[in-house]
Amino acid sequence: MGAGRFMLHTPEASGTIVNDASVLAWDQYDLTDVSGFYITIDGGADIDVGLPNPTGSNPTTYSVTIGSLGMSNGPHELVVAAYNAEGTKSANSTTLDVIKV
Amino acid sequence: MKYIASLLLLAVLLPAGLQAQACTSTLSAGANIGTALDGASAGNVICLNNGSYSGFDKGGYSFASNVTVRSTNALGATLTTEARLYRSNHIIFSGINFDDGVLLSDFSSSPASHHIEVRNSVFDGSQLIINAGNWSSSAVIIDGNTFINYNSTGFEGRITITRDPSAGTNAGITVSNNSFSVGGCSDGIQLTGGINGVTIGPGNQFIDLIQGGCGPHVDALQIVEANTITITGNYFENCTVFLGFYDGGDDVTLTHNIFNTGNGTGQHFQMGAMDDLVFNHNTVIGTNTSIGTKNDDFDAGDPNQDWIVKNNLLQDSEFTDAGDHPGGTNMTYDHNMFKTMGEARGTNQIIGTATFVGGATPTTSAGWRLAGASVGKAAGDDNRDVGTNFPYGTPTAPANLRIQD
Repeated sequence: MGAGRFMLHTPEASGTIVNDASVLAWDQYDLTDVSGFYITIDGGADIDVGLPNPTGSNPTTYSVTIGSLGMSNGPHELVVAAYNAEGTKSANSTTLDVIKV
Repeated sequence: MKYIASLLLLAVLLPAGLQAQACTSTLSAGANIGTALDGASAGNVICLNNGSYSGFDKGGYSFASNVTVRSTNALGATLTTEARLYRSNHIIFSGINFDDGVLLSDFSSSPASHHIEVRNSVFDGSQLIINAGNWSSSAVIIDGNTFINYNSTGFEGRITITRDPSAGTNAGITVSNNSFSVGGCSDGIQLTGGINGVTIGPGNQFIDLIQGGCGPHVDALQIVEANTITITGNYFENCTVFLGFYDGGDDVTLTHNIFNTGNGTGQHFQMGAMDDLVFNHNTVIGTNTSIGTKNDDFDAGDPNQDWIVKNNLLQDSEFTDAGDHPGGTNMTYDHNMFKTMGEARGTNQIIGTATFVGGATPTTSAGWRLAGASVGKAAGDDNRDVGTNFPYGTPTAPANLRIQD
């Protein structure tokens, strides 16, 4: 951006358009010590989703519906982390930007 | 492989960080501990200099935060008579020799005790009895203690937990990181009297508890009519009876335990009148399991029923239906791993010889997890390794978070 030009704020956040029926999925390559998963929305409280709908192996894919997360309409940042039997969390996944409609 | 030496050393060296707490008062040998408790305030640390003290029979203490009673030097103080505490809360005992044992009981009165801890202490020839009569969610913790050489004359357990009157729900008692070994005619732990809401583990070790010529039962863990019990992350080795569940229990869950080679050729697990038992992700080596209720059992009219036995690793071990009411009804055996088809039962059996992270004779709990190339890796119905997965590591991060078409 050159000097003297305005930085334009974009009111519309970028992200995938989703609705309650959309399916949020992720892959887990190593299941060692995985007892479940937490999803966080916009850095808020952990939502414990357990081990939802596992399919396949190496990786095993897990999924939830967007509607099950109680998310308001608008732009949101989603991340998922695994936890072990003592509740110790893994590092977070990369962030997924969505816009709930 | 014996873990106990390291555990004893731990008891001496690591009183759970409590040694780091500064003493707010210090007693000399022979002083009255009960009087010191009478004068204590929330957060006080009462230190006991080396030497002998009488026990006490006290109660009615309620503190806003923990009052700690500990040896000035770990295990330097010895209580020569029984310590009895009733109707109290927020008291910790740590690093003490209890030569005549400890009794935690409210004697059928209220208020119920809660937030009591006994840590890093030694019971040599003595017993810890908890009567959780009307306790609910008590947050009572028994951790890091050593129990040796006890010959039972009443309650059979070196730790006995009972409930009289049977009034509370979910007692909320945790028994973790304790060592039970080295002689004595007694159980390791006995749960009785309809007690519920007890967690055994993680980190308890039951080693060399041998019946031999003893009159009283010598079982590592005995249940007599207990329910909602969790037994997880413990190590059992060379005991005549690892699990003496002769007399019934409901909703007992065993996960991630290691049973390493029963002593003798008898029945190392004796399971009768057990309802809603879950036996999941345990490692069982050289162990004979007898499943069935006997007519002389406490709950003789109740056959085993509604079991889920899955994801276990059994090597040189097998299940045998026996007793007057052999086996049980609605018993599910699934995704268990056996060394040979001759030992196998149930559905989705896995057959093979396991190899362990710690080699042929693992010396740590972590060593009992399956090696990378072992049969049984990720072979459970939950895609995890069969057998114990304890101690738990930190999972790897999920990948490829996406909206799926």
